[in-house]
Amino acid sequence: MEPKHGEVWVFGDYRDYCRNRVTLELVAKARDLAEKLSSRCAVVVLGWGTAPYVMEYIAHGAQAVYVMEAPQLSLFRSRVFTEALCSLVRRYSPEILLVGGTDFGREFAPRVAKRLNTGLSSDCVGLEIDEKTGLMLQTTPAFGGSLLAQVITPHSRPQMATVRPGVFKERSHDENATAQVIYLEAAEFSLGEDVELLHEEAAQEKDIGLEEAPLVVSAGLGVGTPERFRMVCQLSRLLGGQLGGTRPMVSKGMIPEERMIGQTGHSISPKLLLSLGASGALQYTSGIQNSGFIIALDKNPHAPILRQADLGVVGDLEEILPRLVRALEKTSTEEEVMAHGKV
Amino acid sequence: MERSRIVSAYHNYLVDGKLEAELCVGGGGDFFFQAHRLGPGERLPLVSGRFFGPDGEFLLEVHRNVLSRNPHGFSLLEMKGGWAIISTSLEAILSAQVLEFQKGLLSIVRGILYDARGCKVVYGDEHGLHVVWDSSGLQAPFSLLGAAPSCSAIFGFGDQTTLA
Repeated sequence: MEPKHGEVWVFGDYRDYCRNRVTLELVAKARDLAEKLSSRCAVVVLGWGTAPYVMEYIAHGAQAVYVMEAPQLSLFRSRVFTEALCSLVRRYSPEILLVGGTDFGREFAPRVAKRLNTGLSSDCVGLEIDEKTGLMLQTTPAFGGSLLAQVITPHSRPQMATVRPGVFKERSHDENATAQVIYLEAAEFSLGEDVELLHEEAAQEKDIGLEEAPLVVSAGLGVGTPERFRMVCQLSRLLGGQLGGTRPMVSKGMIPEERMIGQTGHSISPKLLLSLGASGALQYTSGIQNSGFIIALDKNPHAPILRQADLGVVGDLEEILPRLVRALEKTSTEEEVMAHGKV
Repeated sequence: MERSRIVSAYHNYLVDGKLEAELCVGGGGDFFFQAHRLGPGERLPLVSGRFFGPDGEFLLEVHRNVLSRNPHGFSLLEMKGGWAIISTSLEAILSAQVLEFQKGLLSIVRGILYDARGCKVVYGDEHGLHVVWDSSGLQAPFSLLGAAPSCSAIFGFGDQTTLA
């Protein structure tokens, strides 16, 4: 069957599949975009032993999957993958190409864009189709996150964007789904590699589950002193939540980088977010927009975070934090007495 | 050369190391083999076919895992995660095993199937099923309809038409 042109493509990054859901999130968004373009959503899977992932992508909304399997694709190497993906793009001319903003995607997508002589918007927080022009509107933080820019790629193709994990929501698993799968012979494509991989070792994982946590307590610069920050930590523990923070808190060394929330950190989607002392800069709020319910505390009544929050509290954290902690400690003690009959 | 197939999110057969939701092969004489598409909840691979031995002698006919014409007394034995069609001397002529991953199932069918001329038509190993296209010396003796919307059209069909 002659493949359709103008498809919306997603690069299938299936590494660490159970936790790395960015491809599924992009498939959901690509499906929306494809429907608006009267096109179809396709995932490109390059690798070796990819059958389970192909089926999962179909279950989550892919209408077509391009599969290229070869032993030399078993490891994600940007030069080989760039060659392969660029060859496929030249052959099938997709309209849009979305890549997950993972460590690999951040290295790989710019190479692909350069090779194809097209534009690339990084870390997009919104992707829509302009009904008049049919172009993809790529919303991305600009100027250090101080504003959100809307970018278009009017002439070059494909229109390319990277999106960080957690920005879009994946579709539910549909076991009735079927899709066309196009198997490509790797031998037909140049997969040249002038780098020999001698050894590979996984980096020490620092998984803290911030993206999946149902409750997150986030600290901003407004928390102030280390003493108050210790109380925020205590509060997070008492609530059974995960602790995160804004970039300024990371810069100050109070929050480790792996706990940073926002444009250059984690995009979170907890059921409840307790945001303390964060004014609501765009680079922070772009990472919390999928939260279910936001309670924000800040002493500045004009802080932007209070407009985004479901419940905004204007007050001094020095006064509120100790009272919150004491109240939660009391509750937790009472619960322990009820459960075990002792303190 | 690329080839497109219809693949299911729930269950597929492994054919030449690739996924395929269903498979139909018809060919010389009355031979045919069909691996049916499974729906959610179905966990055992389903096959139909009319099979012959290496000398071209009729062995059996099976419809959706039920042996319908069976002069030699073959049995379909269900076991955990699959089944096997075995002879009275306990030799398996065809077996299927289901692998489970994530939320999907993958069936690997093993065995050797011959047509009424005794030509090897289909064989299965750890890479799944393989269709032998040129076993009889004819240009295109068999049909492989992986992406066909319905396999019913293949039944009883001659041996020189390629629908794929």
